[in-house]
Amino acid sequence: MTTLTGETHGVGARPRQAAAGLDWWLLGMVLAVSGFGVFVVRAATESDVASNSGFYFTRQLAFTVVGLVCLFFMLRLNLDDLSRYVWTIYAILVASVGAVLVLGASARGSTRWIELGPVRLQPSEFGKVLIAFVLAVVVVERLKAIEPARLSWMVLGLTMLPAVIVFLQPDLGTALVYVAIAAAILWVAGQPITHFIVAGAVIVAAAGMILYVLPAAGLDVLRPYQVDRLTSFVDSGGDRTQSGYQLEQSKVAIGSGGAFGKGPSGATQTINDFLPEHHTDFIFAVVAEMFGFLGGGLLIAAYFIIIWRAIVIMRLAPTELERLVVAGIAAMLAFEVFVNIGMNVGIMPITGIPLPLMSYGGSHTLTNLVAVGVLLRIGMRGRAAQAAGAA
Amino acid sequence: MRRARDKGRARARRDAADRVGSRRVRYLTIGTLAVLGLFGARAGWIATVQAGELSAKATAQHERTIDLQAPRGAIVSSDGRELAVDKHVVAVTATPYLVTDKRGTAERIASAVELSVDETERRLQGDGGYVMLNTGVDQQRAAYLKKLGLSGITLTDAQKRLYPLGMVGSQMIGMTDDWGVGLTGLEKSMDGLLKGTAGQRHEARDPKGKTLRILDDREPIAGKTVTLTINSAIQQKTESVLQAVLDANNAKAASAIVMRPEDGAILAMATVPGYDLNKPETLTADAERMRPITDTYEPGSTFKLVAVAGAIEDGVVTRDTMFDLPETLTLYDRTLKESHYRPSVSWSTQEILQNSSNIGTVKIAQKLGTTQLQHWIQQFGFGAKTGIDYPGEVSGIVLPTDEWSGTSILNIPIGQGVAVTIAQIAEAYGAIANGGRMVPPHLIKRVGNTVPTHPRGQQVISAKSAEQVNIMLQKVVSDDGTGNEAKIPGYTVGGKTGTANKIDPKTGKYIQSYVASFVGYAPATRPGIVVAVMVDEPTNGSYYGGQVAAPAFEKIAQFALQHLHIAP
Repeated sequence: MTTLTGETHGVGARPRQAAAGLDWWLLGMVLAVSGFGVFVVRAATESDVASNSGFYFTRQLAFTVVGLVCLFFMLRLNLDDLSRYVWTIYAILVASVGAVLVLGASARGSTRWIELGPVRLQPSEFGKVLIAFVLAVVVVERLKAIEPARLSWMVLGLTMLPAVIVFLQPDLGTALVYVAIAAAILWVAGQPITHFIVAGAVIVAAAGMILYVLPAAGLDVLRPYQVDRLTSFVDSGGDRTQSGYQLEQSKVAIGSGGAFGKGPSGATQTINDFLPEHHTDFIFAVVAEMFGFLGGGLLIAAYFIIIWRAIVIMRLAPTELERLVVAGIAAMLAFEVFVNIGMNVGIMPITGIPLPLMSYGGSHTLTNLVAVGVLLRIGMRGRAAQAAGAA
Repeated sequence: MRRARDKGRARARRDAADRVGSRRVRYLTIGTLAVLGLFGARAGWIATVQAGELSAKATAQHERTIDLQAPRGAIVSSDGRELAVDKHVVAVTATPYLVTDKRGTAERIASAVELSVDETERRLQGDGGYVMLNTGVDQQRAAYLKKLGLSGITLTDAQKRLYPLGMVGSQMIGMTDDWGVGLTGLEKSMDGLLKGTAGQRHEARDPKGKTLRILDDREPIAGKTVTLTINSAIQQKTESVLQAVLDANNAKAASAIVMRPEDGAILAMATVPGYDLNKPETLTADAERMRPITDTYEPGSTFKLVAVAGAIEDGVVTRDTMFDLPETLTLYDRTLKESHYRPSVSWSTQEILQNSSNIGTVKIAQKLGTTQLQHWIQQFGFGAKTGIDYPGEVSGIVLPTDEWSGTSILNIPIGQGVAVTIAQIAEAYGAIANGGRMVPPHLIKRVGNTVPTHPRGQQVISAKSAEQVNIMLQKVVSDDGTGNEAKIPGYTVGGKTGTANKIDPKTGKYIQSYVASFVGYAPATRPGIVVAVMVDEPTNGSYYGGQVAAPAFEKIAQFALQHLHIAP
């Protein structure tokens, strides 16, 4: 049957074949959110650069177009081929984030970029997809071969090396994404639940030590602004730090948007720059100010559909490797959405994680669209396998 | 078989793994839904329950209402000269935390904001949000600053009070503070009319306080122009004459009023020393009082008018009534002398006034009687405010009848033991010049287009009596009188000298310092101008009113008559 379909001749056959098994829900939502993101970036930044009202808009539009091209390239990806180069990929990942640390350009106290001529690359962003792939390969190859505990330790070690480098850049948020990806892959791989309980307890204890106990003892693991960001969500009312201000302004933007919003041109908190980082970290608050709770709620619903489709694809994945890659990518998207929106509505710490498919940023936009491309590719293969199995 | 069993086991294992897997997938889906649902609920809470409070916060952040300063009304003289006027300037303020290079910025702007580099740098220190550098620089300096375009330096249109004539009429005009509120003089007393009504601007701002756009404006209503009766040329001349007298006699202060007796319009009202209104730092406590209104002095002989005019009006004496005048006059324990020795003579009322005889005046007053003397003191306005439209007027001091002693009749008629203001003296002599009417002086000619009504004045003595006194006062200003220095070539002049010992405020005793004064009017044949001059503590030898004040009268009056084209 499949061969028959494969041999069908005629106009439109190739495109139809190429699109077979495509997850239209996922693609549709991603295109909608990305397009909406470009629109919101444009509306939010028109008065940000005095000489060029379209500065951020044209760039984000370009990032999105390039990202979509990459997304469609991913539909022809063969993960099995790539798995042979897993250690090369891992070396590239560690080397590139390490290079940023050594020679990267400095911006706002953080060093996250490598400058290649006019292009500024943020390797830690691309690294999120790479680490998901590397961990998936490692887990699949050793799942049956070694003890669960050893495997967990190995994955933890492989994750922590780039994660610590990224953390030192310092980019705590992205480092946490790596950890989330690793946790999701181990979880879906079926590692014993005790591992997660122990790890969770360790993380909570470590966070307590780093944020409260050690600073009180005069030992600063994190920079003061990072501690502020992480703790200000607990009580932002009397907080005069920048993070407290950002959080307060985010709430003011969402609250003043009300149920139906003030419209793209009436969003005074955004347009007049009262809401900081409105094109990046706080773009959800911008959406809520412009389109109200209605707009914010619809956006949350769109993210739910995207994550739900990722989970569906995870179940369909024809191989264990692909299943774990999807798990990593789904975890990446979900973690970023959770942390970012949680931060915008004031119930998660401020960690500087952008909102996938919405926030302004080149490396970030490309990475997310590539990740979605990988999801779609695996989904297509899953549908095909399902069809073959049914036949 | 074994293969089949193995296959079955393998499937069972895979099924078990699948079950675990699908359970975990289900957990993930439910967890995702729960977390996103929680966020949605939280966003909904903020956007509905907290919406009102947060919207108000948003509005407070990005909208602001500011007052638009109304241009302050000008103060102009009757001849159209601007005495106080608002000029469009530019206020320069800084937001220190936005100024990163304090020293460099200070070096570039110091001269434009008229401060030293060090002072400018000092004001830019710290991380405050607002500091005033200059409340008003001119347009040229503003253009320079605008071109520099320095971060943290803000230029705002403003009004600055300027006094084009500087020193002229300084105490009378007064000053405003940096915010344009009248502090002293007419700037204070007329503040309500001068200041206008501030407008309001509703504007959108960015987090740094920069105005993004104007939402709506309520235009300010400009203050009204206040036109004075003051003639700027006469005022200037009066002040320069007073300054010359002050210098020549090494006096403490000198004051004068030039008034039209017909309607009470004050043409000049001056005190030296004054100060420069454009340089508030030149103001001293000595220079800030408008003395003709706010200060009293013992009038001495100029007060003799009251007894003489009262006696004429009451018909007690005529110009020709003769009095035998002894060398000295003793009453109880006191002996009254003339200021210059004179043998016993027989003088008419006219001669008594002409020679400013103390004993003669007392004799006239005795004939008039205490009650009538008090009546005429009050009728001629002493002991009460003239009602001039200028703040801070004092009433002077007149002894109430029940406090008179047996010897009071020896000093009150000759202007001792009373305290008057120059404005009171000018009004009283004006009544002789205008045929018997006490016309309260006034300073405000017009406010905007409104002309205030000024009282025509009360007739206190008959025109006929006034004429009799007038003739006698003209004799004073003659070669035979004490006021001959006050003669103005070509004009008839009536007037009276005055010299008074000052009283030490501490001991209450007379001391060797004097007040020399002269009050007179010209032309004497019809109402023209009345001029009262007072020199406080001349210390350069002569201290008689006839020698110190009369020449000043002559110079001021002559200039005024010619300037006003008043024919002799």
